[in-house]
Amino acid sequence: MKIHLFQQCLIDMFYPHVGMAGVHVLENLGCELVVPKKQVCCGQMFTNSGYNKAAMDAIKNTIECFENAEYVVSMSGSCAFAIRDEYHHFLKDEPEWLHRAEKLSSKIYEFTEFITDVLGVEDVGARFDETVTYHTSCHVTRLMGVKEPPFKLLRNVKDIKLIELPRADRCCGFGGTFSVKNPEINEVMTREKALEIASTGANVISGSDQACLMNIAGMLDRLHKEGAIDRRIKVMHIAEILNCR
Amino acid sequence: MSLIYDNRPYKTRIKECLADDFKVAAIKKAQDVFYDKRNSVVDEVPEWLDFRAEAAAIRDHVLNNLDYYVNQFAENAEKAGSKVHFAFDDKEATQIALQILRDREAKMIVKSKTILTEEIGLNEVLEEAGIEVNETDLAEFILQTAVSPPSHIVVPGLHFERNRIRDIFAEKLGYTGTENPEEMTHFVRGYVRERFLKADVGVNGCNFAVASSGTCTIVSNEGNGRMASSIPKTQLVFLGTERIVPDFKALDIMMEMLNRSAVGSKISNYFSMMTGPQKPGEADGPEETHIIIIDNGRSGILGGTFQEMLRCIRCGACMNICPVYRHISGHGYGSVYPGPMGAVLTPLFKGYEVAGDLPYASTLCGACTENCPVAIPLHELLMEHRHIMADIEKTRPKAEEAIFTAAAKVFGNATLFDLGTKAGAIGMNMISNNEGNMPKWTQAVPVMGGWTKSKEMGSLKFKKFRDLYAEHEKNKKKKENK
Amino acid sequence: MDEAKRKQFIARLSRALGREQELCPAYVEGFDYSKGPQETMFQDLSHEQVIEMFKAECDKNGTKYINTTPDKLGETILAAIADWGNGKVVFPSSSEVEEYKLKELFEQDAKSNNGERTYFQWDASLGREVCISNTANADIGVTFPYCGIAETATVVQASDVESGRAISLLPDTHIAVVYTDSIRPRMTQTMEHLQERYDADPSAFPSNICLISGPSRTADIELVRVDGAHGPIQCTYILVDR
Repeated sequence: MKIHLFQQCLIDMFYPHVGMAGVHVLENLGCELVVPKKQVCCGQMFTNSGYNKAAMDAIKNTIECFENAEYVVSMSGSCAFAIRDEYHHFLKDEPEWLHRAEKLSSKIYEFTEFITDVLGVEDVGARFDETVTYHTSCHVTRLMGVKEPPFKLLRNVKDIKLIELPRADRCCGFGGTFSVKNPEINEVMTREKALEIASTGANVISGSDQACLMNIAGMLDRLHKEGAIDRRIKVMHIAEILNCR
Repeated sequence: MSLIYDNRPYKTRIKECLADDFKVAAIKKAQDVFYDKRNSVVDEVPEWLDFRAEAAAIRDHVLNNLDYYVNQFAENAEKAGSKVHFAFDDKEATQIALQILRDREAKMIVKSKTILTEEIGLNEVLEEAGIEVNETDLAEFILQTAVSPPSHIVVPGLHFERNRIRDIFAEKLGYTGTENPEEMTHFVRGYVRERFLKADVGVNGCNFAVASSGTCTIVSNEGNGRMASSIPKTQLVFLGTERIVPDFKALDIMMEMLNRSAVGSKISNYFSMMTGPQKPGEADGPEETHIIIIDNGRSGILGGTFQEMLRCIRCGACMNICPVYRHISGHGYGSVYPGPMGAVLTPLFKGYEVAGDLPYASTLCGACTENCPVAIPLHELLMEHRHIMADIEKTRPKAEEAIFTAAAKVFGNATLFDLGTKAGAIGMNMISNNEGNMPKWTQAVPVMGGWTKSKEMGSLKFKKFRDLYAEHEKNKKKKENK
Repeated sequence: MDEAKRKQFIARLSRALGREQELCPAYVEGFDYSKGPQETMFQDLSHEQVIEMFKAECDKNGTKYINTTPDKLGETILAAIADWGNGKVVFPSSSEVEEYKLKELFEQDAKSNNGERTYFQWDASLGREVCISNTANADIGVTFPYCGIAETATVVQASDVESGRAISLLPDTHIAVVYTDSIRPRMTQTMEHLQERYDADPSAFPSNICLISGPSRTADIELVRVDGAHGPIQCTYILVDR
C-alpha cells in the first residue's frame, strides 16, 4: 500500500527521530512511503490565532503536496484534524480550493487510526518493557473522535505496563500559540498535567500529538530539575514505542 | 454591576487570579465535583446525544423565528394578565424598572438570581434611586454583603471559603454563629425571610419563556425564586429576548439538559411556571406582573455568524469543564459572563477593544463544545472572533501581525522553511546549555520567554526529519542495488 | 403594552433575520417533537415499576414517603405531622379536604391533642395579609399536588384560590399528598398534559404551577449541601393507592 506521510513541521524541526520511528513502523507493516519534499506545515498555528489569510500559503501548499495521494498519514493528530475537519471552513470562499480540500479530507488519517482502521493491524509486533501512561490529545480524541486506536495498539505491545492517566481528557495546556500568548495560564495547566502524569508512577508518557508532548516534556524536565518530580519521565511519541523490538 | 465589572487589563486580572490559592483550589474542587456529578447523571441517559440534538434544534427553531415567538409570547403574556415592556438596551430596561417601582412607591425589593439584571446593572440604578435591593440567592447574598463580583454563573460565590463568609457576616450583619455551612445558611434564611415578607416588589429572571402561553419559568433550588414571585404584591420579570421556547413540551427537553449540565442533578428542587399574576380571588401571588423583554445587543447577534451563541441556556457546563477557567475563575474574564460562553458573548456585546483578549483565553481543546447541552460550537466561535480581529477588523497589535505574516511565509514554503530552520538550528545550538536546552536568559526574550520561563525547550535540529528521511531513502536504494 | 414599541422591537428582530420587507410571519410551523427520545423513554415500564422508580428516587434524594390508602389517609397525615414534631398546620380548602373530611378530622384532633397540633385552613377570602402571615407562622403545610413524576420524584403543585402558593413554601415542613395513579414516568407527560390543559381553556390555566422535588436546598457555601434554604427544610410525600 502506497501512503503519503505528513510529517508535521514540529517533528521535522525538533523531533526528526519521531518521524523516523513512524517511517520504520509503517514500512515494517508493508507500506510504501512517499514523503513529499515540498511539505512544511498544515497552517494550524496561524488559523488558531485567527490569521486565516496568512495561513493560505501553508494550507494550499499542503493540499498541493497531498491531494493526489491514495492515503495520507499524519504523525500528529492535530494536523490531521486541521486538514480533515477545518480546511473546508477556511476555504469556503474559494470553490476550486474547497473542492481540492474536500478531496484531501477524505483520505487523511491520524497515525494510530490508520494502522488499526485502514491496515487492520492491532499488534505491530513491538516489545517495550516499561511502565507507560498515555496522554489522549484533545484534537485527536475529542475533535477527531479517534479514541480507541492508540490503546488497541499499546495493549498489544509485549511487556508493556499500561497505566491509565487520571483526567486524561483534560487539555495539557499547549493550545498552539496559547502557550506563548498566555504563558501564565499554560504554566499552571501544564504543571497540573505533569504532576498527574508523575502521580501514575509511570516512567514513560506517550501520545500521538507531538505538540502536546513537547509541552509536557518541557514541564516534566523543568519539574524534575526543580525536584518537584522525583524521576526523569521519558516522553515518547507512540510511534517510538511501536518501533521498539 | 455591569456586564464588564473589572476594567483592568486582562493580564493583571489573570495574574491576580492565579495568585489566589484559595480561589484556584476552590474552583478546581468545584470543577471536579461537577465533572463527576454531571457525568454520572448524563451516563444514566443513553439517549443524551439525541436529547442534545433535539435541544439544539428547538433553540435554532426559536432563533430562526424569534420575531414570531417574541411576538407570540408577548401577546399571550398580556392575555394572561401580565404587562409586557420592551427595552432595546440596558438603560431603557433599568429606567422601565425604576419607573414601575417609583409608581408604586417601592422602598425595598427582593431579587432571586438573574444574571441578566447584572448584565444591565439594575442594582446600581435602583440603589442610586434610594431603593433597598436584597439579593436572596445565598451566593448572591454573600456577594452582595461582601461587595464582590460573581466567579461563576451558577454558583457565583465559589471563591469564598466558609471562614471568610463567617467573618463577613459577623462584621456586616452581626452574625455570631460558627462557620458551619448549614448554620450560616439557616441564618441567611431567617434574615432574608423577613425581607421577603416585607418587600414591595419581587424581581425574577426567566430561564425559559413559553411563547404559546405567555408563561415565565424559574429554575431554583433554594426556593427564593418562588418566594420573590409569590409573596410581594408586584413581580418584575427580566427576560432576555432569546430565552424563549415554543411551548410546554420544549420545557421537558430543556430541563433534561439544563439540570444535568448545570450542577449534575436530574432536576432542580423547584421549577416554577408562572402564567400571569394571581387570578381573581387568589390570596397570594403577585397582583401585577411586569415582564421586561430586553434586547441589549441580542438582535445584533441574531442572523449573523454568531447566532448559535444565542442558543445558550446559561447552564455553566462550559466553564465547569474549561481547563482555562479552572485556573483563572470567573474573575479572570472580568465579565458577568465568564468561561467559554463569556469569552464568546462578552466581545459580541462590548466589542473587541474592551473584550478582545477573551477569545484568546482558550486552548481550543473543544471540551466546552463537547459539554454544551445545546451543541454551541464554542471553540469554533472563539476562533471566529480571532479571525475577525486578525484578518477583518485588524485590531491585533501590529507586531503580532508582522510576526505571524512573516512566519506564515516561511511555513508555507519548503525552501524558506529549510533556510530558516537551518539558521535557527545554528543559533539555538550556539546558545543552548549543556543539557541541550535553552538557557535561562531566554526567559527575557519575547515569545520564547513565554515558554522557557516555565518549561525546558530543546534546540532545533541540524538534521531535520526531511534530511534523515533522504538518507534513509538513499540507503534503501543502495541496498536494493546491491 | 406599548404597541408602537412592540412593533419597533419585533421589526428589529425581523430585520436581523432577513425577513422579506422586514415582516414578522403570521404563522410558523411548530416544532416537531415526535422523533425526540423523550417520546419513547420508559414506555415499557409497568405502572408498578413507575411507582418503584418514584420511590427509589425519593430514597436517593433523601425525601421521605409513606404509602397509604384512601381510608387511612387521615391518620397517615396525622402520623406524618407527628413525625416532624407537630406544631401549627396549614392546609388548603381544596376538594380533597372535603372528600376525606380532613377538616373535621383536624378539628377533632385539635380538641384532643393538648395543643400539640393546631390547624389553620387556607381561606383566600381572609385576604393576602392574613393568609401569608398565618402561613408564615405555620410549621407544617399540607398540600395536594395533582400529579407526580417518577424519574425525578417530583410532585406537580398548582396554585389557586383554594390552595395558595405559600402553603408549600413558607412552613418549615411540607407534606404533599399525591395519588399513585397520577404518577407518570417523565416530565414529558406532565408537559403534554399542561399543554392540553392550556389549549383547552387558557383563561382557566393556573397562574402558578410548581414542580417540587424535595425540600429547598443549597450548596452555595463550598458546595456543601444544606437542606432548607428559603423554602421548606423537610418534606414527606404521602402516596395514596386508590
